[in-house]
Amino acid sequence: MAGKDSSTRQSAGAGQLERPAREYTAKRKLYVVRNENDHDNAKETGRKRRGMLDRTQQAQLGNLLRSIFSDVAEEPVPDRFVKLLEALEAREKKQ
Amino acid sequence: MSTVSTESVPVKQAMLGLIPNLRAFAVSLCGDVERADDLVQETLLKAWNHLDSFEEGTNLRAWLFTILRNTYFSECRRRRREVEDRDGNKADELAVHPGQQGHLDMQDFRRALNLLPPDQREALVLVGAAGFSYEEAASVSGCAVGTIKSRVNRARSKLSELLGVTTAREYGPDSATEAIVARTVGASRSG
Repeated sequence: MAGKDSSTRQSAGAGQLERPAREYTAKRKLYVVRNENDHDNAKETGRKRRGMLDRTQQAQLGNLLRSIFSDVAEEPVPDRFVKLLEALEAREKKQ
Repeated sequence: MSTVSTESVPVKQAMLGLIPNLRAFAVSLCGDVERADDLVQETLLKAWNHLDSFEEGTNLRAWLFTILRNTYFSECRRRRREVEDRDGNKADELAVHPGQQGHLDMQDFRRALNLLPPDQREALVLVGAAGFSYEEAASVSGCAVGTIKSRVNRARSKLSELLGVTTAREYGPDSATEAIVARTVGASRSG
């Protein structure tokens, strides 16, 4: 890894991007929903935690994640990037 | 073999071949195709200008991903305010539209993914979609393997939590869900 360059290596602080106030708002609203849902079933679900997805839905979740990625990864390279690399190469040859 | 050449031409060709992967990573990270392509462009320029710092024979994909994510995260810090407003609206939409019962809708999923803290989203995408090992993901994100594992776990349970509202299947027909949603909307207005 070419890790020393500060412009290409600057990973600290990623965790600080979380914004607690907003997170809390989203969580609280959803919590109300789940709280209603779980009212009767809390005991029956046993080890399954509140709001957790069942196995099928977990698999679905994995598939959705992969398809968001692969939908784009399977697209052809846009022209602008082919041209960009050509231009960079041409510039280098001149030097 | 002669493939381990000091010529930089193969690296450049490999860069071209990795653009689809870079775009996919960028879209998954920022959730916006146009912004993603700008990120890719900036990544390619930076990579090109720093080709001498890439060690031939090491993982080019990981190197490019590293540049892209660093570009993204420093941009995030700059655009913090703007992002805050936008995500606030997304949170509202997600909370009031829990989606079809028992079915994870693509749009709900995208919204939920965008609601994850960026570092968790990154870890999840690297490991769960781009096929990186925990070790590779750790080197891309510049953190410990254990940190990646815990981010992936937290991302998964957060997603479950955000999308867990769709498990209403177990609790009866739509009317029940609607009643709950109605109460939730009321609660969020008063609270």
